[in-house]
Amino acid sequence: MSKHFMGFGLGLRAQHFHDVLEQKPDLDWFEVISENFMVDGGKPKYYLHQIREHYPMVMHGVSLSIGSVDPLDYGYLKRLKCLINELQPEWISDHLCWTGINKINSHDLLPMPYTEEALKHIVGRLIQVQDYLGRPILMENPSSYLEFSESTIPEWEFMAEMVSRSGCQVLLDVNNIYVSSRNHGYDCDTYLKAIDPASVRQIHLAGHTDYGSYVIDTHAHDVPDPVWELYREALKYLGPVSTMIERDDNIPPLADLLAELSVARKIAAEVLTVEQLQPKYKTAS
Amino acid sequence: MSKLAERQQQLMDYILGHNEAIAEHVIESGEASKALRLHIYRNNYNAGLREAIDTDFEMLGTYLGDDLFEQMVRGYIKAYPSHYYSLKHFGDHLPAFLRENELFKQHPQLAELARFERLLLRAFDASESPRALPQTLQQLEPSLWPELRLAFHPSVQIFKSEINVVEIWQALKGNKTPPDVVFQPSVWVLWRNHDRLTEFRSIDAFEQLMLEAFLQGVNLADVAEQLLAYQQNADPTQLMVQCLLDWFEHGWVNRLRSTEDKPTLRSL
Repeated sequence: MSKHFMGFGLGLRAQHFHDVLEQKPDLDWFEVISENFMVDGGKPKYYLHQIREHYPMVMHGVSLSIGSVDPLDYGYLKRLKCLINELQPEWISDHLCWTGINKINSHDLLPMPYTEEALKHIVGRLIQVQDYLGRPILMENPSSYLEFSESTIPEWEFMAEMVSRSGCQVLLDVNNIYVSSRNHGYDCDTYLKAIDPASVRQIHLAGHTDYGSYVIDTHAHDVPDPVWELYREALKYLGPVSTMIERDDNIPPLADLLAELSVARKIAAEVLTVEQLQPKYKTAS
Repeated sequence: MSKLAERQQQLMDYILGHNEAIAEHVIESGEASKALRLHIYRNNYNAGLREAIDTDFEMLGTYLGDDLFEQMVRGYIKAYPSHYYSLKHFGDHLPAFLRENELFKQHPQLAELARFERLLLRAFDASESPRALPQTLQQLEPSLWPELRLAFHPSVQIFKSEINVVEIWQALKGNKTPPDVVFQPSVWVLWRNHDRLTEFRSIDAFEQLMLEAFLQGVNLADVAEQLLAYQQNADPTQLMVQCLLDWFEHGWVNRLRSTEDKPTLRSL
């Protein structure tokens, strides 16, 4: 499997549309939230297409609900496919989670019990979705706040087995590993090393809110030191992986996010060889 | 029901505030209690939906103030849980909720304000479509004028209200004290302009009659007949031409129609 290292990107947010088009910042790609652009038209979509002319994009969804026992929503998948055709993203992703049941959508990424039953259920649906879309999708490891007593498989083994059985790939959210490790006492290194490096195509970096006895994945702050450290370890283990920063609340000016992204570039330059960072790393030289 | 389905239903029931049966199936670990862990999900659910309403109904929120806004959001989330994959549609039933709720229906301007803000959003997100230029009209062969039919840009919406809700919205938007509610029937057209900004303006009874006739697919000759009757046989031609040119200038018109395809307008 070709990992196709794309370099360093950001999540595209409406607050930055104008600056991106005016400044054409020095970064390699953007990730867009699929559902935000599953509309008929309007100014955000106009900006999206303008920006697409200058940058590669990947699409990140929050509503696939791959773990739900509700039937797959083919209306959603059809709309997703239309956006894929419009944007021609490098890849698309969603989360290992479920979002609703009995047609009620929580609009939140809800945790799965990690059982053989759940694994079979998700793998079957992933195969259906990938068949329909005609491409593999990336599944992101979730951040979670509770664990089910009937879970029999550690989350990292569940992820690895899901990848192996369905042929999906991995969007490794380093912040989520940290958040869940704090919330559930996971060992980050054990989690990381359970994932097949060849399956990881993208890394998410983000900040969280630390309440002491628990941590919430808010994307409201800068990437904190423990997440940077874990990113460093991830790169040592995985090699070059396309990396981006997610920010969804307290969104700072674009220049601040670009400065934060340069930290990721610096860590990558310290951990990886110049050859490993070719060809897309040219922007950091 | 499979164990997975049962667990998902239980967690959703907890999030919706129905029962706490899920607690038996969640492990106690670390410093954060089981109750706190579950509460995070219920809180996320309510906060996410609240934010969607706050974003989409900004002036309604300002008008209500924090306490009444919270009360409205809590009631709405309970009455109309989301059945949509996108949060953009979560607020679709808010005007209906405000018309039905015992407290809020006593203030009909609230439902009207919500309906107006929802139509603004529809105009904002409507599909892209070409716009016919005024020259298209000016260059039309005179023999083809009687048969002229129009297709409108998908962003064009008509808003009718019995009260002065648009003036209330405008005052709130301008950080001014909103006027008292008064009975004031009016008709407005909302659309997305050439710069993709949402605009609106009021139309009088003549223009309303003419616009609604064109929207229904009536041709120019028949529209003129209706307007002639409306004006009690005073010639409507000059006013009609002015209106048509104005519509073309504003980008309301998508194209001249030669077939029976009908533009659709949804009402709230």
